[in-house]
Amino acid sequence: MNSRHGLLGHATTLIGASITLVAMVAVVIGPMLMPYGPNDSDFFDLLSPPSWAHPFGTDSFGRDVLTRVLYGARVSLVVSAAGVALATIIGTAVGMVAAYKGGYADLLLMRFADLLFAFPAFVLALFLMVVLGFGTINVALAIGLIYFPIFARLARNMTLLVREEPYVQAARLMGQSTPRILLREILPNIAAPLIVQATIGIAFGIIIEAGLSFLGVGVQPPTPSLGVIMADGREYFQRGPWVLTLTGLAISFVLLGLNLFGDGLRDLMDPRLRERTGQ
Amino acid sequence: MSGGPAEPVLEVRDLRTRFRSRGGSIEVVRGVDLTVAPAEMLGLIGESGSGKTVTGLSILRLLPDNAETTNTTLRFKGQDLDSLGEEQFRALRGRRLAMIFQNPVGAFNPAKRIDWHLREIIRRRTGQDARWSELARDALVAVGIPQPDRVLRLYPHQVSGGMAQRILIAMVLALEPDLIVADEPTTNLDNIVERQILALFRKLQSRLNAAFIFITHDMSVAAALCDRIAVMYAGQIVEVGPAHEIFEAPRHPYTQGLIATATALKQKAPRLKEIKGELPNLASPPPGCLFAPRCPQAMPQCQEREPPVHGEASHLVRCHLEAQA
Amino acid sequence: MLETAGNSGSERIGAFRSISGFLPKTAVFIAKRLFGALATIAVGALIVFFVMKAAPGDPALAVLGDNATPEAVEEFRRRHHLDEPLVGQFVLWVSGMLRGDFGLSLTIGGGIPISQLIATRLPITAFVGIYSVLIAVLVSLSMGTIAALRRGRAADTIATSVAVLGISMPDFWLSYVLIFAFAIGWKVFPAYGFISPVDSLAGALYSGFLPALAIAAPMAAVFARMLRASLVEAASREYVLAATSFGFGKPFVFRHFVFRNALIPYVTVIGLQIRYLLGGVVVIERIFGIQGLGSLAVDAAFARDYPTVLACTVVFLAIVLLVNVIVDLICAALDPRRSL
Repeated sequence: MNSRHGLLGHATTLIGASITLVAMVAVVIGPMLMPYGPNDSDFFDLLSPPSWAHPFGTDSFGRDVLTRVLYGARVSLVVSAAGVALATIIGTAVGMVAAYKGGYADLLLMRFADLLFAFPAFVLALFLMVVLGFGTINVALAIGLIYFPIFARLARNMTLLVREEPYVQAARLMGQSTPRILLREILPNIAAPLIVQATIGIAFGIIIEAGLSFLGVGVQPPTPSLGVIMADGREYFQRGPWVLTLTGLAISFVLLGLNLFGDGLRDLMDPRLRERTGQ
Repeated sequence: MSGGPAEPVLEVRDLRTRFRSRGGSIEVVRGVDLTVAPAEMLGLIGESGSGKTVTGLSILRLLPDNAETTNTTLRFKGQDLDSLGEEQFRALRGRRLAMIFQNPVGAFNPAKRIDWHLREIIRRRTGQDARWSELARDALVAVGIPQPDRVLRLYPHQVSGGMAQRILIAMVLALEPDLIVADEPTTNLDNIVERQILALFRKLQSRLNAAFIFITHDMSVAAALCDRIAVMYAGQIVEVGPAHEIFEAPRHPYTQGLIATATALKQKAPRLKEIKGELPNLASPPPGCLFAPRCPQAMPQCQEREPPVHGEASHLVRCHLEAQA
Repeated sequence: MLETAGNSGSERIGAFRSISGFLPKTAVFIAKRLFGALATIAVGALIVFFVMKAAPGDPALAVLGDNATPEAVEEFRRRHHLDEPLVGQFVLWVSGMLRGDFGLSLTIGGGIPISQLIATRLPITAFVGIYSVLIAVLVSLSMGTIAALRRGRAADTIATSVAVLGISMPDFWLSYVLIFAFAIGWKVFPAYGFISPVDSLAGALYSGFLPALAIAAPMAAVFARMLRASLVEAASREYVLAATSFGFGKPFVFRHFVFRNALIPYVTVIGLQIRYLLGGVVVIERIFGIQGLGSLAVDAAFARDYPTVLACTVVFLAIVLLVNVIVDLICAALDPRRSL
């Protein structure tokens, strides 16, 4: 993963970044530019294939699919980002505290994180949906819970590395309080891999949200999310395959961007990018 | 630089090696000439970064992909090495040309036992498998390893550095090559073990009647072991001659500095004489003699013109001072 | 034991350490890991149980409806032990599980034993899971190796790009693409009607191909990337240089030095990815109408059939942990540096 030579490596990162940027822009501005609303039904144009008027075609209610996809992407991204943000904040906090305090706190917290990590991700999400009830917010919570152990572990390991650095020792000696040390000395220095993980996490979070909504236990219609639209499209897949296919394509596109970007970030931070130049 | 009376085992002229990297390319070996006579132990001395290891790798075609090497002559026992295809060269490796590495434990496959290694070496040598365990045991005994049967069943990470180096020597012994490039084989070992390994090298040489290029930065080791010594600085050979002459009467200022430091260390002198300065930046080398910036005897022309190679057939020096004398 | 005689020694040893004198250590290793897994399952079950019980809503009303008579509700509660104290319920549940009794479903078949459901469905899910892992491993071995061998060239770029695409596609979307291509377009594989391996292995392999492929695709992508990276890493190691200097040929060096040592991180990643695999199984089962554990969980989720969802969660947890133990064992066997 870290041996892309020069230009090519940078190229993929740039492509990833641009795709992500395009997706972001589309998601933010797109809905405003579209002439249709996500729930506007055109009964004269039910389930029509892609055309100039409807680039993604219409669904069985006559709604413009592209508009729905743009709105849906918004929802999916927000949900995923919210969940990942939750996981990042709480997970990082827990991880840093565990590593800094050490001892029983570390043991207990990490055991808990590992336990959570042992559950298969999607099954855990499904379980949570049953317990918490279906719905958008709960999907975000589920994503947060799934990613919490990853961030906790990562933050903990990084903090262990950074804990013994001189500037941390210095801060301690100067009598700074623990929370301040954690926030001002340690956090900036462990932020990079966390950001990379978050980028990749949002990508997979979208898949989880889409999967849950697709099954019907996530975001509930009529609120559009990428998974909900795909669930619709599934009903009449044989007659109108474009709905599901194009929505999935849109998801893949966004994910591709996020993945390439996250990969590129990781490569950039990898010191072993240099070639072996002989002893 | 010249060769001995009999046909030399190795003849190298104007060996140059560059490494390509993001920023450009750097010439790490800048016109090295070497001649190794049969059964001769040639020491190649220099500080880290002088290009000695890369020289060895270049001769054996073990360079990484981003390196290129050129030469005007590269002859092994009269045969032109550059004309050989990949498969032909591979056939030579191990059997005729071998290398011993600095980090002995790292030279083994961590997933396989020692007996596997020896068995594959023996198979390479004899082409067959029968009696390999006997031969393996004998090889280990020959290098002074007690309990060879126990050692054979060990994994590389379970073996100490000194033991690993012995096993490597045993493996090279089993292949019976004509030329061995030993790259700092004792640098990572402690003194007692080092002495044992050096003794083993002497034994190896007499048993195989092989020629050696012994790469080291340690003067005393070279003094103890080598017949001739070549001193390398910044990718070039600056002095080459019989060992005792190099030590008793060094002619190049760099060599003189090295000897002085080594002697002071040995005598535990109160002040260490060090050679001030550092290796030149090979990406943009200074004009003239590469050593001039650090040379206590530098003259004006040293910064202007590259020094010529002068001296007698058996003892050559790359220095303006020498040319003047 | 003077020596491992002649040919047998190293050949048989191959990738694993010899068994003799080793068995007690392996047994202890497995025992320790299994015990750890059991402990995790126990704690996991505990947490899951109590979280479930803490959920709002009355299961009796949820199932029977708001118009149910008090007697019906009463009867329902008694049958499912809902009127007993929580801890009591937990103990009942756990002791039941140890006997293989997962309790009664709240909704399915009027309350049939969950263990019955699990018994019929588990083999199916296991089959699909194993099938997809096999496909993923085979594909990733070829793709990853080619990408590493032809590093920096066209084949590598193609393989790497395909891999990135692979992990960017949601597997349930890929399912539909596959269905469209191979079941509707070219009618080669069926889109529905999975045949259980218990009835017909060939039938299962055939009808299960598309679903397994859909699950395998993102996995294969991750595995391939990992393999490529670890092959490249292993190839840059000193022992490869040393082996080359001894004059061993490239195929030999690749097989024994590069590939063999790259296996360890590769297998480790496989173990880590199983959790995500199981996620794919759940949705894919739904799409292809496969009567496995995953679709059971989804159906139960919709029906608010808490005990079944609970049981499924615990079973899935157990599967993941068991697989981890197996992968751990394989890794330990592959890597002589790990002390058991």
